[in-house]
Amino acid sequence: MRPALFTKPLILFISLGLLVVSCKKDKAKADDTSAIKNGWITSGTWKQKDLVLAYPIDFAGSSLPVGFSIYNITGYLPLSGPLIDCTKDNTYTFKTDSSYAISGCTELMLPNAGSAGKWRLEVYDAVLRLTSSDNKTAPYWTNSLTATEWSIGLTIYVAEADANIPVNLLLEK
Amino acid sequence: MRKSCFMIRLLPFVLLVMISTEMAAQDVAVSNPVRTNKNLQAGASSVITADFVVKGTVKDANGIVAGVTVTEKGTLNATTTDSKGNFSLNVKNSNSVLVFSSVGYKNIEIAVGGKTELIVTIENNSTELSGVVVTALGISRSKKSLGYSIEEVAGKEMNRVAQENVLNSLSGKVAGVTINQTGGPGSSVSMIIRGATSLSSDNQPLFVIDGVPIANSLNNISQVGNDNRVDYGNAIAGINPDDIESVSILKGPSAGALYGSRAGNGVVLITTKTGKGLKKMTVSVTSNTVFEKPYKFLNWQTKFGSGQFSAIPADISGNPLTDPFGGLIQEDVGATFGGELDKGYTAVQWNSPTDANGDKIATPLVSHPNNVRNFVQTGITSTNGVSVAGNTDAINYRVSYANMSNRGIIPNSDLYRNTLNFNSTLKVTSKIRLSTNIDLSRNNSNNRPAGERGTNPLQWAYYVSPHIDIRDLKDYWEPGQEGLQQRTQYNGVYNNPYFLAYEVKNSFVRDRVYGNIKADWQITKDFSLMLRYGLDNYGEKRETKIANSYTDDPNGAYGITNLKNLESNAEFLATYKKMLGSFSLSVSAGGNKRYQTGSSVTTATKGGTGLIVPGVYTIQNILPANLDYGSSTYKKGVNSLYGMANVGYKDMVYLDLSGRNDWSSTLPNAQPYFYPSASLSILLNEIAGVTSKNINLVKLRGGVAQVGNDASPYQLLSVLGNAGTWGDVPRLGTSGTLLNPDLKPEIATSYEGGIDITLFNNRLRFSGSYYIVDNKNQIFSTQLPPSSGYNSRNINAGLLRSRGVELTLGGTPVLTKNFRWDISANYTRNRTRVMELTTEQPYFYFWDDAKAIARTYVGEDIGDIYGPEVRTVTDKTSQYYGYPLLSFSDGGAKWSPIEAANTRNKIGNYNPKFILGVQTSITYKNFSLNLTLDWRNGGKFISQTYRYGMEDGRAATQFSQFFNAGTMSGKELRDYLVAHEDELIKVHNGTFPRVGWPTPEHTSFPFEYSGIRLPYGGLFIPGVYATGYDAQGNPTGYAENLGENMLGDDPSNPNATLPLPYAAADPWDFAQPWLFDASYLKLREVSLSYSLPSHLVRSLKLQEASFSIYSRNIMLWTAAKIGIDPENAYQPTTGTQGGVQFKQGIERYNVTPWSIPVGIKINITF
Repeated sequence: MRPALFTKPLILFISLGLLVVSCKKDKAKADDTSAIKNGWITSGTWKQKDLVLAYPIDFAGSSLPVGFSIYNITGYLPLSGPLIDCTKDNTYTFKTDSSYAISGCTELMLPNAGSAGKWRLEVYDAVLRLTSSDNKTAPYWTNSLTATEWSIGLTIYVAEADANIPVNLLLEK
Repeated sequence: MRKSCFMIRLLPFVLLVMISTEMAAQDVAVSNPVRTNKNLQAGASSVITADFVVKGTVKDANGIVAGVTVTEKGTLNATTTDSKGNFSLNVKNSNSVLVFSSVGYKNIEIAVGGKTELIVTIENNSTELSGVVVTALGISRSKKSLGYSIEEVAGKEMNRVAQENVLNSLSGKVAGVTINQTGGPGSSVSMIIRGATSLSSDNQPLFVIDGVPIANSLNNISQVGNDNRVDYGNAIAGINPDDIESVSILKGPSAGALYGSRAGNGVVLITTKTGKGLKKMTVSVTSNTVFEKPYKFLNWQTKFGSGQFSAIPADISGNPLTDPFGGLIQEDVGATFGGELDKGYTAVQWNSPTDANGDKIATPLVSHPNNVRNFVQTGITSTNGVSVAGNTDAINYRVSYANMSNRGIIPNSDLYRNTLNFNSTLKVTSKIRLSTNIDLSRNNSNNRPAGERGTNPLQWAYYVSPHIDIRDLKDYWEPGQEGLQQRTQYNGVYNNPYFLAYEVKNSFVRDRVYGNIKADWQITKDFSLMLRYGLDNYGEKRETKIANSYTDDPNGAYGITNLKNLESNAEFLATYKKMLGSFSLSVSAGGNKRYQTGSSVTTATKGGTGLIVPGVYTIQNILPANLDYGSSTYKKGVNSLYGMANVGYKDMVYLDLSGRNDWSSTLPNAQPYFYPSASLSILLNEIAGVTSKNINLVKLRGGVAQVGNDASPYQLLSVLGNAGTWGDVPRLGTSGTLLNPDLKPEIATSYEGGIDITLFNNRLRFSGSYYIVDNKNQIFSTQLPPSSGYNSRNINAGLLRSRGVELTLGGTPVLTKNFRWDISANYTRNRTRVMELTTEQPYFYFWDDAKAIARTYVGEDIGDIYGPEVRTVTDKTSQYYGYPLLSFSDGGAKWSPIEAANTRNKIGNYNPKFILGVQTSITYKNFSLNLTLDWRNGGKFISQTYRYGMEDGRAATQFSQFFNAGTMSGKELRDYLVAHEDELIKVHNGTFPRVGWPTPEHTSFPFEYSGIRLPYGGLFIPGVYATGYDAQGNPTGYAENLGENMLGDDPSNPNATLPLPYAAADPWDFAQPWLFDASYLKLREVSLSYSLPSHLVRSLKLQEASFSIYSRNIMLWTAAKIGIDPENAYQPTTGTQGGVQFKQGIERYNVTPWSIPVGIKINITF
């Protein structure tokens, strides 16, 4: 019986340290933003809302700010203007089987995308990678995405200025 | 609550076990001599044949001892000493071994060796409350007669675990004593008794070794070169712990009153080992080695590399704006906000290979999470010692030599200690004894690593960007530029930690001799005289060599500092002792003549100037114009007379009176100051005539005393000093501080009361003390208007009041023949409050750093830290009440501070609320397990390491304050933040909420940078900003910065959210984010020892042999959880403030990694 008497306080004493060091915080729950974003992209058809400047430019003596609609200046761009204007009614669909389809003009904005192919999100879902049916591929930056609005960063070549201009492709449902 | 309640819950159980085992133990232990004798002898008679009778007497230092258990070793045959200390025992044969044991005494084994008569002296176990302790002036007194608190720690308690500095051995063991290692091994160790009491000194106690005061200070920092602050460690580290017999700590003025003007911070009396009491020449050999493998490091991120923006390659993102600086890594940037690692990205790096054209080739960006782990090394401390001791009727002696060598955790750092100690007493006649103790020591190092910033290798090891493998920096010279240019990720911006470790050398040699020669003359039976001369003399040479290309001294640096310190004390003490009926009387009178002198000589390069020829470290190699030189010297003398009287009545009541008069040369006209004390000890158990063995001591004690803190030399009148040159013309100047010709010493007046209780045959022990100490006449500086011609003046003013409680509860819950468990807990709580200052000074200032100010207002406690306040909406009717009122900064909106100097925003106090130390010892047969726990509860400290770590993106801690909004945006996000405003908008408990993330991994916002909108990497600070102000400066309206209308893209929405780049989104202007809880729990010591059985020891012709494994200073828990030891919250500074070279409660790169040392100790006595 005697050993039991003194082992109890010993265990209790040792447990002092264990109790003190055993406090831990709960970890924050992981979110499922990726699944939500994929759901937004694949539900419904995206319509082209606008094509705006992502970088301020000087044009014809004016400073055009970020967010300025390129469609406002197509009349001054005899070569590029028509290619831009013809994108106005583009529509985009992305399916859960990773296929996409684009209706409208893509030559200027999405020259590698064609009208159909495979899509996937990369770099923490910030990049939309389109791989066309003929295996051309290119990444496109997602500026913002909600259930009904999508802003994608692109670069378009404006022959009149011989420059690549960063623009944002604005889509909506 | 669970933690603080735990010991309280444990205590009833311990008591229950104690009582239970007490009853059980009576059969075999010393508690019941009659039963023990009968039972054991009865038992013994049936199993042994006793044919040899041994008789004898057992004594201790005070005379005969009754009730001592005498056991024939290896049998149950035992008896106890009678009231006259005599015993008689039949043993097997003349070669038997007797074991003498009694609570309160050390066990002792004596071989009968054919003798029929033995006189045995047993030694008091000084850790227990009963017995004799060493008091002021080295006078041994019965503990029960003392009217004040004094604690003694036995030498073996300090030797169980090897320490580089003996003071570390006291951590957690003594109530009222706070030990802090200010940095890594070899750094100064602070010992504060009952809290800081002086505003003008380092508050270190007076150390006295065998009656000789020993110099010791916390101010051991000096630097040669820019930002090369080196702590060379305090001189007390020169003591060999193995030479210590016991340490008495005189905690309050009552205990230390006889030291007068030196006792203001308490007194530590160290008694060294002698050969006294040894039966034969004894040789003891000790070998001790401990390995320290670092395992815990700072919470630094390894996700992002060098740079100011976490770029993503444009060919991956499809967006050139994700790579705006033309590279993922910017190695010239002293921050790590750069490209993300381990993502498969590549970049040209500092050490990239080149192609055939000589162009660097991009290589993968991968993280190196173990950089600091790979930089540091396993520290090894090895201590070996030998001592020879002997004792005859005429002389006893002890000679010891010990060597300690330490290989530091930081590469190329070391520390050595060699000590030679000689201790002897010669009995010249039956009435005259001569004794001496001489100690020679050398402490030295080839390199002490610097602290704080600058040449601190740890700082730069933590600065190495995680995209670099630190091992690639081991070759620290640029090829072809050896000795001229270190090799770094970007020369001129970074320092290579290996370069600092190997090419910045701060060496020192400290040679010390201290000792005394003493004569004791017992003139008559009642009258004795002691004469003693003591000397403490040390010289220290510090030398610094800094190679070319250190960023703050690109042309190198060199310097030598020589320090000398000497103190001599000549003293006498005459004592008259007499029993007068029921009264005992002891009267002493003495005097002391103290002389102190010291000097300091420094010759070095001026900061930033450098050497003529790189790598040649001589004074001649410094241009005369670049020489920084200086010298100083001081002398001080103090004459003292003192006396004391102790009167005892029937062992029931003891009264102590003492007085000391000091004449100090540092005070005006050496005016005399008198320091009196009175204390009373009342033994209630004796008065009540209690004879029960379960009530051994119930003592009330109380005392009033006055001691002082003398002034430093040359504080009365200004003297001319070197003020540099004007061209070639030397200049002299006076100090900017107006000195005080009427200076007085600081006076501490203490009132102390307490109770000591010992129960159950000394198996349960309690001691409690409460004290109040008023410290008046503080010596400090106050500011003066510049028009006076001075910056400040020294004054005597103010009143500090220290109040505290010290509790010690200990016991022996289990005591059987083979098993013993002792446990003791001590609790300390102290507060020191500034009660008065001068009328023009509302607070006392300690330091100002990291946006915080340590100052103490009148009526508040010392240790308070004040910080900036976050500007918030103060209009209680506003829906935004309490929200941060942001200002525009770095292209976004950011918290706005009210500077600490302009507000009174107390954010913490650096002193702990209480300290709890627990010691336990479990002995089973020849095994012994010892643990010492140290729990510091409460207090705060500022980590500049984390301040800079958050500012430059290295610290991972702030990531937890970045709210990930997931898929929420716009109004949805705004509404969510408002719904959780206390957590996500308002600044609280050091948390400064932000929304966003450096990359799109979580919610990340665009931000404007130099007119360019970058697509991610922005964070916004939830709050509001004013849309206008009235004439009084009050906001007339607010706009929300809560996630809507990002960057104001929608002009129709006034609530434009303005994110900041991640690199600018830190709360740099505040102190709260890097203010951490200083609470921690350390396992100071744990050791498991095994002593060889006596029969084996004898067969090996030894007296004793033991082996132990141990560990020390294991951090079990910290509240801060940042990998910094809160005990090291000391920031070294070479400009003294408040009399100390440390800022307490703040640290900067004082971040020695934690380790779990493993030590082995072997002790053999021949």
